[in-house]
Amino acid sequence: MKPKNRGREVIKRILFLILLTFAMPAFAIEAGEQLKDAALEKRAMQLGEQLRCVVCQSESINDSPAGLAKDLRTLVRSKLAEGLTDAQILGYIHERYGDYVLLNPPVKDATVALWIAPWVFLGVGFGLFALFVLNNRSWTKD
Amino acid sequence: MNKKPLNKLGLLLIPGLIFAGFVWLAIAGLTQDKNGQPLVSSAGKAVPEMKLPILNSRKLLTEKQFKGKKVLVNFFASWCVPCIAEHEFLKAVQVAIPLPIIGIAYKDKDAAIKKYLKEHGNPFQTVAFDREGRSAIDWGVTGVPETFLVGADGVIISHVSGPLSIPVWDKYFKPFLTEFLVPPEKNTENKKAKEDEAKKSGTGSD
Repeated sequence: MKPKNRGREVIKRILFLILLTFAMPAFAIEAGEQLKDAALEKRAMQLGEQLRCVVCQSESINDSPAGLAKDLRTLVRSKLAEGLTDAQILGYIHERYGDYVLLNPPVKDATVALWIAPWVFLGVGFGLFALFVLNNRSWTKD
Repeated sequence: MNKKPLNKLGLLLIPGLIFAGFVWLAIAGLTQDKNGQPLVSSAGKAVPEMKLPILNSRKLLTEKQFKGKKVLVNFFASWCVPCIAEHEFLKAVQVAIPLPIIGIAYKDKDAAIKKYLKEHGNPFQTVAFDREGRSAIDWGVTGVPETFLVGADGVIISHVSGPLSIPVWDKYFKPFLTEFLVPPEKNTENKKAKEDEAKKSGTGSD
């Protein structure tokens, strides 16, 4: 009976890990913050996804419970209610907190490395992989 | 096809070098002196529009009041521990040089600020309230304490994040406050000389 129990335990653990992959992202937005207008709220959520919580590590303002993130979410919603466009709202916050606040920073001299580096690394990785494969094949032929 | 097998050691060198580069970046990032440096500096920007209630007054603090003389603007809060640590430094500045200090209480209440100033002393010429933290966003504040030096033209000269200290002050503020660093007698002498010169040229003093 013992090995059977162990097998069950392993299956349970695997199932648990599979279930974890279905976990939904937890937003930090509180119920009172949301706009009644569903279309505006949808735009607020999309804008929030593009704005970094500047006092956190790699979190959007939607995901962060930080005070400043909440203030920015409130600001986005009040500007939407005033009738500003998405670009105007992003511009307003960008003007105050610079490129860092944008999770997709604009491509310019100072940020060009951010955009190019992943492709360079991917290229180098593929290159090395190809070299190793070719190399090994020539050895087996020999 | 007598291909030479590639030098394995040479190939391994490439990822090794890339890794070393990352290590170097990490060390450089950790050892960099970022004391006082804000994430994004508001230096060079004009003082933002605002209408903030002033402590013990019915007047409002507006951006128009930032014209004509240099001022130090300090965002603080009674609930902020580093602000208490910085408070002694602000008091020392207030005693040492005639630079007006405006305190902006961030997300705080009148009673708490009154108690705080009674307990720790008051280096501020004016204390205004940013109750919702909305004006702080316009200033580019990410947290308290943050301090700004504003020029006579209403443009922010320097912006510091975190508590003030002598090294931070010397780096970010002192270079822009040279007029206060000459002894007062000499300063008045200079002023007199300037006035005399202005009289001579007939343009009048500013």
